[in-house]
Amino acid sequence: MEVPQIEKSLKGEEIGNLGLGGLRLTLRLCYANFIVYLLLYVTGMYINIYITSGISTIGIGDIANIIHMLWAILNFVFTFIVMVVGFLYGMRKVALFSMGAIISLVTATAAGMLFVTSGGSRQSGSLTLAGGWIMSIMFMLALFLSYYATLKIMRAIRISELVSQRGK
Amino acid sequence: MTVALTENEKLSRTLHRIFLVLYLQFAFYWATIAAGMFVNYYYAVPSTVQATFSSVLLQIFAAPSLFAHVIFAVLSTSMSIPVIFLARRVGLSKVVLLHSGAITSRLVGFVAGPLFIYYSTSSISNAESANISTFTMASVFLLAVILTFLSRIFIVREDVRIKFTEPVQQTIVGR
Repeated sequence: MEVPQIEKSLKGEEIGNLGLGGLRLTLRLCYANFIVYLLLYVTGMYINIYITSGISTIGIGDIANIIHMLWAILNFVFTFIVMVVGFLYGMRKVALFSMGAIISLVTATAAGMLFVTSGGSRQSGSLTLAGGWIMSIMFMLALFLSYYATLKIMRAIRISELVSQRGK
Repeated sequence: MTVALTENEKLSRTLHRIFLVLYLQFAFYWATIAAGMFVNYYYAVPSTVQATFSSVLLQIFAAPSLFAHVIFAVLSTSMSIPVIFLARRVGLSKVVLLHSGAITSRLVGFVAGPLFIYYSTSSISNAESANISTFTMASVFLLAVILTFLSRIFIVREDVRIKFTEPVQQTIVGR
């Protein structure tokens, strides 16, 4: 493939100026973030099925809740780093998807707090229920948005690899 | 009218179709989750349900939230079939394997779901087994989501490879 052809193909693609090494490192961070998402989901399911089970309550100091919140914090930190990388190194889509995920995670955390402080059970009233609903929906939205940011990084890596191969 | 398509263009079109099916599948995943949350928050197995195959199965049609949950689960699972078909056509074996895995894990969920109702019936009333069934259902669902997520990685890789590869001039004739 000739240089003008490569330039034409690169139109509309966002490879940024982080470099291949940096992109690969960011991708590893994204993978780690997905493991955290998985752990967050599993602890959430555990609380939902085995602790609250529709009738029982959960307090903020419950050990399962603390573990769940720790995963959420780690999730926030990893997504935030990806967002900053996106903004600093010219990957607009990565930054915007990650920013969306950050907003979703913050909303989900606030809704989770509402769930715990307003009763902590699915039968504690409509406010608690709303907290549970918003928390779950926002978690899924964050997961999807982080996933699309990851795909954009993966695409940038693949393009960088192919372009460097052609350049040799 | 004859249209000349290069091999890469043909591949690109198939990949585009896979992307569209995947978007639809993700939408159905979302709908399954939303309906599942309705079931989680508002549905309780009635005391009239008996611990028989037909009675458990009929429960699917008894509550709108449960019915919607099952329908969207079936739809999201079935979306893997066109993906497998299209991926086979372009030789993306990893995508075929990942979606076959996703279908298999969803099938486990389709067993665990009715088991939850079975263990929750008044005659059985086994809370521990009902909990395990729900947990299994939720876990295999997430596994299926992860597998389909992973499949997209390979499709994106192929998409980029096509875009940055010299076009192979192989003319085909079509309408």
